[in-house]
Amino acid sequence: MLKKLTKYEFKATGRTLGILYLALIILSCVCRLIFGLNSFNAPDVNFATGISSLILIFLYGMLICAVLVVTFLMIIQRFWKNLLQNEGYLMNMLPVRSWQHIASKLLVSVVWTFASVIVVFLSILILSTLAMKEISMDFFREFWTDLMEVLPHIGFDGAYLIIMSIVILLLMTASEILQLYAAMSVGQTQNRYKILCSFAAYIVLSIIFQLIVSLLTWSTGTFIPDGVLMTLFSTSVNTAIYAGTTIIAVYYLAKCAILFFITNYCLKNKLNLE
Amino acid sequence: MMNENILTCRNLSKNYAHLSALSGINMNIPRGRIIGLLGPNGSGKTTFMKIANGLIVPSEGELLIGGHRPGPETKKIVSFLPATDYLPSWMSVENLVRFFSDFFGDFNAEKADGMLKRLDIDTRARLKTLSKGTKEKVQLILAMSREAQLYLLDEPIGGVDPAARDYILNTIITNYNEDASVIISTHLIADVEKVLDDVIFIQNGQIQLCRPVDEIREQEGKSVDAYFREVFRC
Repeated sequence: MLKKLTKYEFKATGRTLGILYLALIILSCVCRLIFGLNSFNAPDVNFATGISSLILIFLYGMLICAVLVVTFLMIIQRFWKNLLQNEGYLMNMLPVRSWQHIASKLLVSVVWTFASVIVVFLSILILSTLAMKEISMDFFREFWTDLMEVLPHIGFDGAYLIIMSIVILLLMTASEILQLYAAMSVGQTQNRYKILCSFAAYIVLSIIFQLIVSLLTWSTGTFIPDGVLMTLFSTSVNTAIYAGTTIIAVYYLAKCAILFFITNYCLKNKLNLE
Repeated sequence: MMNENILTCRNLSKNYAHLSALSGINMNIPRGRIIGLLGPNGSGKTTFMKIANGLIVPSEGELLIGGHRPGPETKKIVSFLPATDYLPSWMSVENLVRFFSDFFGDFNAEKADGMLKRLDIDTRARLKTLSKGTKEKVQLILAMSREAQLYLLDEPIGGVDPAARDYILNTIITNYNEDASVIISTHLIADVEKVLDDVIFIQNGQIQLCRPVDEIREQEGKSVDAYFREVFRC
């Protein structure tokens, strides 16, 4: 069932984002080609070309904003409209458990978040080749060979750090999305002012997690004797890195779990469709 | 197992801030009946349907379907037709047929295709391009193409023309198996009266009456429609 839900979730969201991605890549290629023409560097740039290039740059900036904003809005709108508004009648009549709804939406949202960021980077990369005298694949080939040369030497510590960074990034993204889900799930339990209550719930959740972080930092400073920390950090930088990344990962994992639980509890026991 | 009631309500109540939508409903719906849930606007019909499908939770009491509270187990055996426009408008009719076959083990796609063809509905059309009446027909066809044990139809014929209305009611009575029950909520009594076995009159969240249709005709000497007008005279 999770697989089917995810499939339909991708179908429902893919069209809009796919078109936006395509438009952004095409526009950055167009910009690259036009600005790459020598006439732009010539001193006799006339008014018409100046204006049109300005418009092009403006469009490009707008499109980048659109990709990021639409991704964000889609994460909210898919959950709100598809589960808690009219379409919720359909989704909630399916013989599916509420955690499966949340998991499928979360998975798809995380994928789109990463995809949007990657597409934006890719388009900037396309434009950045402008700085090079000529577009040559040599640059990328060199980058690749350098990377391949370095990789075997990073060792276990390096690999651990890279993997942990990715894991933390994923968990952070998931926790941000889940915080939106949890806020909406709490907000919809009210009979009136559902949207306002969702906002309020989001703010309260933010404050709570802020407090937890402050409390954790404070307690580390207070309860762990300085000596312990000093020895830990002085023995090796690696130990500190291991300890640090693990603590961060565990924190975000716990945050995800708490928010998932809140969302699931509300959807399972407190559903309140209009 | 098969002899027990398909749906049971015990002291079922739903309160909103200043209003009690359902108060202390007790009833048993046996298998193999077509039941009309009849009442004026705002009498609690939709609230009942929503509780039975787990879209809202009761304030007090409970509702059981086949012995379970509304949840994934009951949703497997209940075919629900909501009164609102609930299908995603970007999907085409054939997308929806596939969606239903994917998620409901008891969905009969051939039956759905047959009915869509019979009512001349273009299956490639997106839902947002269809008229209100056609959309309602699609919704009803999807609900009736399941081989469910309980059909909960909330205002199923409101926006449909009289000719299609007859076809749809016919489909309802010919499509369900003898162990299944159908609950139809409506205020268009004259139209549905001929297919009903029992009627439940509901008003202000309370059950006023629960009787077999034949009994009303014999003892009161009038149609359900006329009897309804008498009971709920304004």
